[in-house]
Amino acid sequence: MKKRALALILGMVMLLGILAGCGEQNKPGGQSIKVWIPPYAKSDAELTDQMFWDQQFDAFEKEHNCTVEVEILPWDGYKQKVTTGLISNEGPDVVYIDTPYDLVETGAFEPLDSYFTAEEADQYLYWDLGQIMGKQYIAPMLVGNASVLYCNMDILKQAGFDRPPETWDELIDYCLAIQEKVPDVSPFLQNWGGSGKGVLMVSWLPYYWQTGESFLDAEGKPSINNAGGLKTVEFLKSLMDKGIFDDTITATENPKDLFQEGKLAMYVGDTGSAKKNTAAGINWSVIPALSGPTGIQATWIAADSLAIASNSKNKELAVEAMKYMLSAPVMDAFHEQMYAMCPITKDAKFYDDERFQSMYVDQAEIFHNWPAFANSDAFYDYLLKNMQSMYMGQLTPQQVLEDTMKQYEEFVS
Amino acid sequence: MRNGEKTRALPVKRPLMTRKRRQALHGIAYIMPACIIITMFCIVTIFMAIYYSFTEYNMINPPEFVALKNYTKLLSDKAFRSALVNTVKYVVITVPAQVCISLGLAAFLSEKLQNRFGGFARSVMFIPYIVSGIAASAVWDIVFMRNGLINAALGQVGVKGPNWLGDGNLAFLCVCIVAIWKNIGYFLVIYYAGVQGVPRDQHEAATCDGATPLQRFWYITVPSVKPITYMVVTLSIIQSFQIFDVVYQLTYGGPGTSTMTLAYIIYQAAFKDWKMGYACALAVVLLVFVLIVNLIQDLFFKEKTPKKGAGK
Amino acid sequence: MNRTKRRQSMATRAGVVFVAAFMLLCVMPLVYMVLMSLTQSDSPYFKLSDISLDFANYKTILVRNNYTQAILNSAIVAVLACLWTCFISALAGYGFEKKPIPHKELIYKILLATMMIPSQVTLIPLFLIMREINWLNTYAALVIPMAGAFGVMMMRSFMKSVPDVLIEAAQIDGCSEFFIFFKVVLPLVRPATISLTIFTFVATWNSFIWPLVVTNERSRYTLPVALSLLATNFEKNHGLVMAGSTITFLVPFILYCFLQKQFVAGIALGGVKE
Repeated sequence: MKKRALALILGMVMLLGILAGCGEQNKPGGQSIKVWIPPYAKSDAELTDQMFWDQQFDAFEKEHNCTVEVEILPWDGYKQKVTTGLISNEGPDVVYIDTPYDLVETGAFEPLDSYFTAEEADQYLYWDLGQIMGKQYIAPMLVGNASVLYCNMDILKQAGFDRPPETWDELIDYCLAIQEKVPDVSPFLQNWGGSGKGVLMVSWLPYYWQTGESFLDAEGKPSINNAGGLKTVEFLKSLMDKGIFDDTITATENPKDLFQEGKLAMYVGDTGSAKKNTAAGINWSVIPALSGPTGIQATWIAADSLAIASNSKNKELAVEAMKYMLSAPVMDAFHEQMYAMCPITKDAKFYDDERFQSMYVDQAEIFHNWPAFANSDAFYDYLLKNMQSMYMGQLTPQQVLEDTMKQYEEFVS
Repeated sequence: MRNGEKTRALPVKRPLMTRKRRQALHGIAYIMPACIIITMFCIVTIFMAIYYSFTEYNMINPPEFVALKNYTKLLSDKAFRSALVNTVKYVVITVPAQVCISLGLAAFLSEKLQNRFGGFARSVMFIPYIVSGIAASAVWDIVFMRNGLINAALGQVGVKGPNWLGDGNLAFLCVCIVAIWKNIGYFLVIYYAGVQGVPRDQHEAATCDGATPLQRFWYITVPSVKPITYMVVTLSIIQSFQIFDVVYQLTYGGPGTSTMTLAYIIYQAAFKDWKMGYACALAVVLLVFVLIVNLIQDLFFKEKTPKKGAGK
Repeated sequence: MNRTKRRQSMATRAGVVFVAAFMLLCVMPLVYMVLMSLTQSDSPYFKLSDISLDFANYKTILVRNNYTQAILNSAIVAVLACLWTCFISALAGYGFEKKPIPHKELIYKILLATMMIPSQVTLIPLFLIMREINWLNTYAALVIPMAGAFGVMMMRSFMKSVPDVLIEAAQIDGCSEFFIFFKVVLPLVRPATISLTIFTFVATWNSFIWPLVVTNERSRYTLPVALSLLATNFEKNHGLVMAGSTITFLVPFILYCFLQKQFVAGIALGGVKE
């Protein structure tokens, strides 16, 4: 009898499991939307992203008599999860996205033009960055976090310098001088042991733009196999040839950790880590970008955005939620409590280190966001892997560029 | 078969037919759930994979038939080539290593350490097998890191440790080490049971004839556990062809392409690039490889042991 | 003779040392993991003085990173998968061993052959099927495909030990099919059920690639997925990651400590069987 009961229970549980699984998708009533966004709080911070957004949405939920489910998705594999969600018909209504091109191309996002009046659009400082293929598909939300060159001024002084380097040649001179005079620290490191395009935004793209070359050709396709590309890769390789990098460079993930321990003189990193550098007691100084061989200053900047899923069942409400998230009070709270970046509306305040404020305002033209083209993730992945192979001595700089282009072209064909 | 004979032996004829048929129907009902599940999730999916491998499919637009395009693309794909080479290299390293170490340990434990310590040793060696691949990789990650446990220890004695995860060949070795570490215990348990089954008198007779332990191992133990070796090799090959967790968590296939495996690029093509058709073509290649290797292995073992005795 | 003996005992001693060293190698990383999880360390090694028994990392993980939900998910999925697999496998094992099904050996061989298929081959079509029937992000998607030919094979080999006379006697007594299966057969194959349960439990608990692709909301992540996502782009706290690893490891480990014999019996059976 026990066995039979067991079998019955077993069957019931199974059934319940399936029902529980399926049931959740078909919640009655349309007054519920999902917002997907990655985390910005530090992993040991008091206030988590979930708590922050839940708090922020309380007022919105009351006002619109709805529920907003905020889902914090980790950065690792963020785009995969978003894509799965968008194609599975049970994904987000409002979604945060950094490289939107592919999803726009497949029609996953709703054009925003009709939902925003000209006046509203005018409020946003970076609204035009959301223009893709002639339409406004995304609304820039987090702008800033540029890749800038941090210098430990104490180390630089020991090596006989009183200001950060400004050109490629100076960077190398500085490194060699530091190696000689302060041998127990690393002069300069990049994160070639990391994964994903996050490596390229600090370690590759700024240098490429500094050569003055543009990333996309006239047809909007990536093209890096050119003089500028070669200069970039050769420069990055020379760092190893000159002994500034050693063979551990392909295992280096977070130069900023070493910087904060005072064991690294210079690195390129996000403006968001400025606070931690200060907290670690480092006497640091910063320049937004080096000047390349032709004197052009350029670097990468984030312009991550919000978008509305085209299969959202409640687009009106989703757009309201989006406007609410972008509004000055919410963004100010975000910048103050979570992660400081540039204000995105005219009525918002600046919360980041004041050194960055003038930089973002006065030198706006040096900042470049991700180039918009199809299958960019694959492209960056090939480029990263080929750069790693180069540092392991398997490829020449010319081959890095050729192979990357070839692999990408095969990929899209 | 055996059942058939028995029922035929029953005296009465007419009710027999219906009874047998009823039994058969019951039987079909019994095996039906498993058959449906396995057909659905294993057999149908293979044909689906083959079908999709001839299409281009990004999950949003409907699949588009492109004939052999995905396969021709494979031939010129650099990542695929290194993944294939790495996977084969990986199988060639880990399978023999796992088989040799676990058989050696099993034989030694069963011959010399049939005591409490031996039992404890077996229990301990099995533990890594129950660690999830992700947790294992996370732990080994901090062990192998540039400034990790091993290099810190080497630094204490004044040796500059190698660049484990940053060097292509070493990173590959690291993946192998983690996988072997994780699997030894499992194969050890299988082998231990098999070695225990070897008749003791054979060993005793050989000892009387003056055979050294090594000779006894080589001429008695190894041949008599051959069916188990077949099984272990099969399992080990299938497992090794599927290596994913460790690569995903420890090296992301890098540096460069030095630790990319087939399983890893299948995942990447499918769930990162959303090229379902291409990913399916990769999967079909993986399947063909596993089948070929299995066939070779079958021939190899059959040749050496004409009667494998694997019949159920 | 004496010298060979001495040499042999030397060899034995060397062997014992090797075994001991190997044991150390097996547990060292795990001990390191547990110790590391008790420190707040950014660097991959620690001083003994860094260790504090306040379990701060564990608290952080459980409260902040939604690990409790992941533990719950893993437990639900693993338990359901065990029940489901045992049920399906016992039924099929009994049917194959004791019932006169036409062409059953052929069917059985085909089922067994599916064990050769690498999971990556079925991964993509399975994902497409799950999407089609709207099972993405459900427990069902995590549980149902866990049943496979291995369980059937294991159960069938155990069903051999159930005497036919017993079943026939029950049939002659007029017992129903249902009664025979649940009251006569199942109790006799209990050891196999336990072994298969353990096996399925560990396999489900540790499975990674399938939960990774089929879940995309935190509320459905299993432990390995949650663990792999613990390190975000922004920083890496080794103590936290190790605490996550320890939690993931702990449940199968406790199970193993209590049910060691069944663990080993199940695996050994799988090996000797073939």
